[in-house]
Amino acid sequence: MSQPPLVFSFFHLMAWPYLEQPPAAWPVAHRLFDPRRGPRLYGEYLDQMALADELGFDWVGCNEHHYTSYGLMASPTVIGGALTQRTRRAKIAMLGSLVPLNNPVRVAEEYAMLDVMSGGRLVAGFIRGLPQEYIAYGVDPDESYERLAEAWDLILRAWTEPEPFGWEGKHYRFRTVSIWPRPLQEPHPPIFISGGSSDSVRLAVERRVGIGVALASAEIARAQFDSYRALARAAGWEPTRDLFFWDQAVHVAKTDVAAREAFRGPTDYFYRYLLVPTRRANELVIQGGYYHDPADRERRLQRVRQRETVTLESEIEQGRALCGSPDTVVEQIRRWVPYVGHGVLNVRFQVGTMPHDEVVASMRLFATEVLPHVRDL
Amino acid sequence: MPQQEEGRVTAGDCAIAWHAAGDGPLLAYLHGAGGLRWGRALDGFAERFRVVAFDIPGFGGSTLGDSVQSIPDAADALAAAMEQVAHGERMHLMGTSLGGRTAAWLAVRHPQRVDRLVLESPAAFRPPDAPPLSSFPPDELRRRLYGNPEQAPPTDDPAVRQQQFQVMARLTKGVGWDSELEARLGEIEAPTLVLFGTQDGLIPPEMGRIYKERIPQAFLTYVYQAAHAIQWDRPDAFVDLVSDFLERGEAFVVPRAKATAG
Repeated sequence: MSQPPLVFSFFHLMAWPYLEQPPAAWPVAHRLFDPRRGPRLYGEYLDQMALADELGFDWVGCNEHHYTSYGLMASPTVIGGALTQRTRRAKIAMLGSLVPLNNPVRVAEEYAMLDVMSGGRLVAGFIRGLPQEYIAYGVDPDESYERLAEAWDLILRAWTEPEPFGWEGKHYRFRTVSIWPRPLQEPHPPIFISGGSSDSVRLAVERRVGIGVALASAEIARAQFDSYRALARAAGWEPTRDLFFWDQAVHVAKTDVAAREAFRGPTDYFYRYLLVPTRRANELVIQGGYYHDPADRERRLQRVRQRETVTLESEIEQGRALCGSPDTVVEQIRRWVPYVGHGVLNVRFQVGTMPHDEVVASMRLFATEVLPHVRDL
Repeated sequence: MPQQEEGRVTAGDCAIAWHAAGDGPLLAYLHGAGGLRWGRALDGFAERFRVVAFDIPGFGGSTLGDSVQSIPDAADALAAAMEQVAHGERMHLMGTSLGGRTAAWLAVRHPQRVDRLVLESPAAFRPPDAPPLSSFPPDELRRRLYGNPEQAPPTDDPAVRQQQFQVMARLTKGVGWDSELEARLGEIEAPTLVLFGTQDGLIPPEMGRIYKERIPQAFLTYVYQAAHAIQWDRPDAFVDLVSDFLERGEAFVVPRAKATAG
C-alpha cells in the first residue's frame, strides 16, 4: 500500500534562552523574564517560522505551556494568529491549545478564526497538556481525560451545528452556543491529540484521529504507534502514517563535528535549565489518577528522571535528536522513519540557547541538502 | 417518592388515565412508546411542580377509542383531558419520544392549553433509512435507549411491548418522518425546549435542529453522555435544566447562581 508523503513540521517551543542558572523548580519565577528582551526574541522566533514556510516545511507548529522559561507560548493561538499573516502555504499546526484547561467554546472559536484567517490551513491539536499545566490552571488532573473527551465533543458540535444549541455536560454547561466564525475546512479541520499514554492511544483509535509523541525516544514512539496500529487493525482498519507525529530536535552543520559542537550547549540548556526543574511538579501531579494505567505512570516517571542524565550522544542514539552533516542527518532520518513508522516529522531547530543565525543556517542546510533526499522516503 | 394520586377522565370516546404527584405549577407529562415509567426525574419534578402524567390512548390505563387513529387525534384527546384536570388553566407540557411528537402536535392544535413546552428526544423525525424500532432485538433496543443501563428501568414484559408497538403503529401509520408536523411546527406558540442526548441510538440528535429552525421560540440542548432516555441517563441534570427553563422561560439562558422566576 502506498503511504502518504512525509510531512515536515517546523515546531517551535519559543524557549527563553537567557537563564544564568537552572531555576530551582517549576513554576519558574517571572522575575527571571526580562520583558525588554522579549520583543526581539518573539520577532526572531516568528522570523524562523515564516522562513520555514518559505523553505518548504509543510507545517509550522505551536504549543501551550505555562509559568515556565521552557516556552513563551502561554497562548499558542496568539502566535497562530501572527502566523496566518506571515505564512502562505504551510499548515498552521496548533499542537496545541490545552483543551481540558481552557474554555472549549473559546478553543472552538479561536481555532475557527485561525482556520478562516489562514484560508483553511489549520491542524487542530486537542492537547491534554503536561502534568504541571493542571497546577497552573487550577484543574484537577484526575479529570483530564473526561474533560478532554467532553470538550472534544463540544468543540465538534460548536464547529458543525448550524443552529444555536445548548450543552448540558458533565464538566461544561452552556445554555446557548453559536460560534462565529465557523471553520473553513469541511467537515472540520484535521484533529491530532497527544499520544503519550495508553488511554490517549485508545481514545485516538476510537475516534480515528492522529497522535503525536514528544520528548520520547524512537523506541517509545514506535511502541505508541505500534499499539495504535494494533488497536486499529483489531477494529478493522489500517492507519496511515500521516496519523503519527514524532518530535525531534535538529541541528545540521557542514560537518558532524561542527554540528555536535554547536548543539551540545543548547541541548544541555534545554534539559538542565528548561526541563529538569519541572520534575517535582510532574511527580506531584501524576501521583493521582492522571494516568489510569500504572504502567503509563511508571514510564512517565522514568522518562522524567532520565532527563537528568541526558547527553547529546544519548539524544542522537535514542533518536530524540537529529544532528550532524546533511549526509548524516539524511541517514538518521532514513533510519528512524521505517523504524518508528511516523509520517509527520515534528522537528525543532531552535533548541534551548541556539542563536537565531545558527538556527537559520541549520534550517537552510536542512532545506537544501536534507529535504530533497528524504522527501520520497 | 412523593405520594402519587391517580384518576381517569373521559375525553371523547377515550378514557384517559392520569397519575399525579407534587405541588406547584402544573406540568403535564406524556410518556414514550414504552409507556409511563415514573423514575428519579419525575420525582425530581414533583418537588417543584404538580406533575400530571397522562397515559396516551392505548397505553397503560387509557383506552384507545375508535376516533383516535393518529397522533393528532391522540393529542386532541389528551388536550381534552388536560383541560379537565387543570380546570381550564394552561399547563407546562413535557413529552418524551413518542410523547414528544404527541406534545408537539398538541401544542400545534391546542395552543391555549400549553404554557411552556419541553420535548425530550422527540420522535417526529426519524430519517427514512433508520430501521424501525420493532426490528431491534430487545438487548440492542435497550443499548440504543440507555447510555447508562445500570440506571435504566427494568425491561418490559414482551407481551406488553408487543401491544405498545401495535398502538404506535396504528397512531403513526408506520411513518417515522412526520412531514405534516414539520410543516406546522411554526404554529407552536409556546416557548419550547428540545433536548437530545449526544448518544441517542434511535434518533440522530441532529434532528433537534429541525425543531430549532421551525419553532418560533425554541431552544435546542444537547445532553452529554445521555442516549435516547435522557431522564434515565442524566436524571439530575435533566430536572435542573428543564425546571430552570419552565421557571424562567427564555431567561434560562442567563446563568444565575440563584435562579429567579421570569
